[in-house]
Amino acid sequence: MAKLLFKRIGFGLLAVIVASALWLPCVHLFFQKPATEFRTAVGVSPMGKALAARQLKLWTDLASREVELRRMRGSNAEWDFMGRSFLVWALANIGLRDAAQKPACLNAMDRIIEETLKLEREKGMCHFLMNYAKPDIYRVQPARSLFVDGEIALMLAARRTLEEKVELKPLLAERVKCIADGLQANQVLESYPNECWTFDHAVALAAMRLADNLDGSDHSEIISNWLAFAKRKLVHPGTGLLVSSFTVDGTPLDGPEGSSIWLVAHCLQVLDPAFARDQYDRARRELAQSHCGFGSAREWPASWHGPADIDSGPIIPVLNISAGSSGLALVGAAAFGDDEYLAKLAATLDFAAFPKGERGELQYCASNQVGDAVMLYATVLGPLWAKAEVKP
Amino acid sequence: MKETSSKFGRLIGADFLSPKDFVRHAVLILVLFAVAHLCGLREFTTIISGTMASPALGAGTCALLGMGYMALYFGAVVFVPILLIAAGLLALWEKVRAASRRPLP
Repeated sequence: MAKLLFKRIGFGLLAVIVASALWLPCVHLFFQKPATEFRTAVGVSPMGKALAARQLKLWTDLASREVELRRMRGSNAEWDFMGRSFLVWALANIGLRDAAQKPACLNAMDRIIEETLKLEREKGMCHFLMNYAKPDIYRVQPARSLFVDGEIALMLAARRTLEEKVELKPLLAERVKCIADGLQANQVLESYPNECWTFDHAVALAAMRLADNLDGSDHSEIISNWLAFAKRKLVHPGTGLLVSSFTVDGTPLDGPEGSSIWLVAHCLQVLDPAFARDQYDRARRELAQSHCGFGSAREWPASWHGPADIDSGPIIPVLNISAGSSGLALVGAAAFGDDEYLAKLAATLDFAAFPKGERGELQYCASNQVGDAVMLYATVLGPLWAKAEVKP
Repeated sequence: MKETSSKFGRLIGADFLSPKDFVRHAVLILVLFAVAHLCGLREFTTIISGTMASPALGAGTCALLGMGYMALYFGAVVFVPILLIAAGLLALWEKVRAASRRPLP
């Protein structure tokens, strides 16, 4: 009797093992699509259109927006701000890709920028920062956050690049001057007290490049100086990747971080294309991974042990998959035309990010508004950067 | 109806690790997943991004509901086909074995 039971268990387990070996390598085939489904060379991909429809709805349907904002701000006030930034940058690209969409994009961008500036004016920069941002403990006074200044500058520059709006010209000039003066005086700028982020510097410098293109100014020396500083002090020796954060004296606070480096590499495209390519290739080597045909990204390279934090999102043990890094890897793969990795990441989105499509709108339940805005940006990026290409 | 009930009964009372047992578990996972989906638990998977679907419910409950939905979803998408393939393989094996034991005419 016992022999019969063991025999049955043996056959049953063997059948499960063989079935797993047959099925697991095939699962991705049901979710795999060509990279062109995610982003197209011209126009806006169907996925981009559906993501944009959902994002724009959140700016017209106040109840839905309220729910979404409450959810995000409950975890991180930065996401409220970054959700605005990525959406504005994405809308600029959509407007540049599809002239028919331009009026709607301009309208939405103006609303978002106006409300963001109003909130910053009325509640201060800390409204968009995490709780430990106390203005009186910033090393450089009066306290400013490059996170806020850089992203607002890029929003303003993106809006003006899509179509000139004279009222925004002094606002951009003021923001850029503030960043440029700070970088000239201190080499680096804080986002949080004694905490500087490579991500925020890259965004701010890209905004500066766009501003130069719009207004004929020239900040190339400041940009070159910062890049030289970054190559000298912010490169992690083990991987050659830029570290994610550092103190005001340039001491690294962390190693290279997936939720930072993919966008940094993208911003470097308009600052130093060769360095951008180098950083992307290194990030691809150190952070990109594939399991059974599904693409994902690690938050930290194998040579650096860092914790899961608010930027990485929860990290899936063993597989080392970070939601934050994987989402931003879409931006990197799209920016560098890495269709193979992009298709694998897009397959993971459909498999494990729980898409929800209704009435032509698309959202990913595993994500949130800022995550979806990042994905939208990845589907349309390109035309805005083309306007800011490095002049030989 | 009687025949259907009887088939269902045979499925419920299937032997451990038999083809029917695998099918029974596959059906159970699919039913539970369908219930979770219809209850709107998909929204709670936002916990992956570190966001609470409903701050009023609290982080613990949101995480529990989100993880529960994910377990059922991955069970339905990954494990159910494995169970069904395993059931097919076992049934095929039993058929081959029975045929080899049958005396030649």
